[in-house]
Amino acid sequence: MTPVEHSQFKLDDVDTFTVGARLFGCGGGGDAGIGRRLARQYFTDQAVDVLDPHLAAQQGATGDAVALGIAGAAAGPLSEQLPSGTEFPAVVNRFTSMGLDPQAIVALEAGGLNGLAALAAAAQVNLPVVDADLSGRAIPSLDQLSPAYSGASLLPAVLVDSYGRTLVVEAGTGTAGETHGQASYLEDVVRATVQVAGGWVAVGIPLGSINCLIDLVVPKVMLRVLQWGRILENVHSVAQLQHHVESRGGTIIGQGSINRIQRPSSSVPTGWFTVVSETSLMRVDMQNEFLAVAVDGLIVSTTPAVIGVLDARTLLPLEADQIRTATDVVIMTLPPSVPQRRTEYLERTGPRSFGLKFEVELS
Amino acid sequence: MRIGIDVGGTHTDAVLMDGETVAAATKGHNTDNLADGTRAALNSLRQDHPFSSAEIDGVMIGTTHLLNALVEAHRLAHTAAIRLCLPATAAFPPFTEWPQRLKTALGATGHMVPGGHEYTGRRIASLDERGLRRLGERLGEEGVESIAVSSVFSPVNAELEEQAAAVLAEVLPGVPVSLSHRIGRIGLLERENATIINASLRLLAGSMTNVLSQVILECGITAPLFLSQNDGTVMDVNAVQEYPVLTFASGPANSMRGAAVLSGLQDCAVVDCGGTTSDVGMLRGGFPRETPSFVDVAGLPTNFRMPDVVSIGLGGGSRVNTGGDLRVGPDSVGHRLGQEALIFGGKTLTTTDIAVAAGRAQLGDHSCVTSLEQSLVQAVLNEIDQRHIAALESMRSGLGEMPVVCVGGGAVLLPDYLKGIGPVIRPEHYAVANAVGAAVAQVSGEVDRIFIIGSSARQEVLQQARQEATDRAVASGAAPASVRIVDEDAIPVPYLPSEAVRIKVKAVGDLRIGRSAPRTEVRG
Repeated sequence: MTPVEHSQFKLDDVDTFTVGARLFGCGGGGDAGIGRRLARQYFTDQAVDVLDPHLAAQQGATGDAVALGIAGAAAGPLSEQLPSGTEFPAVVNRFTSMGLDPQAIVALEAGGLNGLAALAAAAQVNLPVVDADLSGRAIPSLDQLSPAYSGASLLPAVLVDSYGRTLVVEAGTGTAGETHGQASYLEDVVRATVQVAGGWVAVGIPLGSINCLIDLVVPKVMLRVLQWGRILENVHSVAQLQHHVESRGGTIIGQGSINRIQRPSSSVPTGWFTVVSETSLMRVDMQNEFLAVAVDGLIVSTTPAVIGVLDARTLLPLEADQIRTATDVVIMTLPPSVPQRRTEYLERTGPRSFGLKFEVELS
Repeated sequence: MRIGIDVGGTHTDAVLMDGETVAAATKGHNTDNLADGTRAALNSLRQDHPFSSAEIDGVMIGTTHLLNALVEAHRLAHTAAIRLCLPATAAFPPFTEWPQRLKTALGATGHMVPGGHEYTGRRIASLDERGLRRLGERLGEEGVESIAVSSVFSPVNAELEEQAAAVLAEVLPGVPVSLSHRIGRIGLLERENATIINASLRLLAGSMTNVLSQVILECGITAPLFLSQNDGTVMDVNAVQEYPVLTFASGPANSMRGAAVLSGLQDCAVVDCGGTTSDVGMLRGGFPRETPSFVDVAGLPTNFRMPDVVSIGLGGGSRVNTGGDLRVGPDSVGHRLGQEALIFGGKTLTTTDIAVAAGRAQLGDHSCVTSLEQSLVQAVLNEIDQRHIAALESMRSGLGEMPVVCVGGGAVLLPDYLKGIGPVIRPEHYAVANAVGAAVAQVSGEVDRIFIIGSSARQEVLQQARQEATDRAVASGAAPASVRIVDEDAIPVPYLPSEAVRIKVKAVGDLRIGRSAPRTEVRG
């Protein structure tokens, strides 16, 4: 049996999880601060049980899992047009009315906003959260989610906006089995929907029986996020951090001061910033998230590795819009958690999926 | 010439500045009465360097008076918050995450009504004027003294906040209404929090500015009065009455700007060593390095950015406790240093006594500390140095030496060189650097909102944002020719059609001084 070191999330874990969520957000994945508020709002006295997908399969758990999260322009519009609080229960209720038996919540992404949104949703609807997500680290597009390359359907998906308006996206007869085509279609529908829905929507994706979940998800991510939150909250020096990072297969790439920033734009989708240290020049490529790190021109880490840019003074992760010149930073990387379909995962979330012409580097 | 005054925790410092030269400086102990301290500082300056009213172009004051009121939850107005938002945002009502003590002090009530806009400027819902009128009447019966109004995406479209203000002015004439789009940036809860804090300080700010205006008039000064803002720029006294929240934490920015002016250095570390604490920060290009994220004020998340400063509980008045293990601070004799320190005939061993015994400072009666054991003196000096070195190490970005400009009344505590860090520079008039920072302050204008670039070129939109920031700086009193853009960022908003970009621009210029201060417009 897989040992479960932490079988519940409690209110006290929310702030710690937020720190870890910022690390696994890799600079993007939405505003973890809003996720933190959502989770704090709904946790109150209750705890959320954590379901290990391996154990669930071994023990023959019953019922269905649903993935929940927020898609859209989470950093800007969501920080103003905040949720009404009815979105996630509405998604779950709609699945129930469609004949599903939702018994567990899975985060679209553990990193950024959505890991916390899943915790909030689980607390709201009083269901356990699965120690897994569909991405390993924050990613920008629904067609990069693990079910999209695991032979499962992402449909029927349910979208609910802050007005309470609901959209059910069903598969047509011709698209059955073409999961990637479905995922791209869902991505297109969501992008079109957020334009008329205030910039974001709550998204629900059915994942089928909890028993078979392990085939579809990136396991062990939620508790890993909490663990890293705890580490980052407790380290006081780069040397201490280095010990934790290296003992878990990661690397401290370097430390220095940000001297130039080129933000992404519609014409140049990949931006970058450079960090100078006494001995080297580091460059971090970014779109919504940090995608790759080069040291003196040599690529040393790429997506889907977890790339963290930490404020050098507090050793807390920065989001991409906090990247400002003259900020002193530490750049670190961790190996990703991987789903069963490792090859497809690296293909779907590696640098080439973002239009970058270099190979995956996970060291 | 300008007069700069800093009313800190223990001292009121004042300087008379001729351009960037200190013509006179004074340092006095605080009294409980803001008027008395300010009057004493002005009189002392005049004694030191006689001046006529006509010679003074402006009086700039930085004070923690309002921040203290907030931290102590004392003298705050009975405040209601009205948010125009429904059906959105209901998951987080006004006063979410507020400490109960502060909510009680405000007699806080939060209300959500239909309204607000989407990021595109499209309305979420129209304002229910009749409903708002009824709410206003009810609040009036409950004795509300000040109201904060926020609306979803008001930095994009402020029409509903303005409309609500007009309705409330009819129902509750005389009750000040603070509008969120005038105060903060994008980020509803943080902007709303800042607006509520602002509303709660309106009555106190009114009486404080009246007192200060009266004092400078009594001292025969007819020049306009300005107050320091949190970012180290200034706003005129009329604007402070409406936007007090923007002025309440100016201390760190003022002392760091003062350190830059006094030392002539643009890139260095700054240690502001006061009576009880020592603040360590970094200057980049003559301006304080700011925190990468927004800061909490009195336990509340706001969308203010402040200088990135590490505070250590060690200053010139810190007690040296020799019973058992040696302990230096954090308890301090504060403004009673002049009576309690050994060198001034008192009975308390303080860090200043140690500095005098070690020859780092020439103050008071040296003979009172000659009997101190050399090993004790060395141990305390070592503690002082090591704690500053640790704080400076945590702030630095490079490995090489960096100059450390040391200012504030406790600056004598530090040696001339900090091992592993660099030389310590104590510029002339170091003790009154924050008053110097207040006096030389510029004025600013900011833009922070989402622009839909669409068919127009990105450069045109950026230029439009720069012009808006410049116009705001000029409206706040900047001389147009002096305005320059000091900070600019264009962050793409992912997942939206065409190209939505959040553009933040800050413009700063020299104050255009005239006998009647320009009307300040402050907008986020």
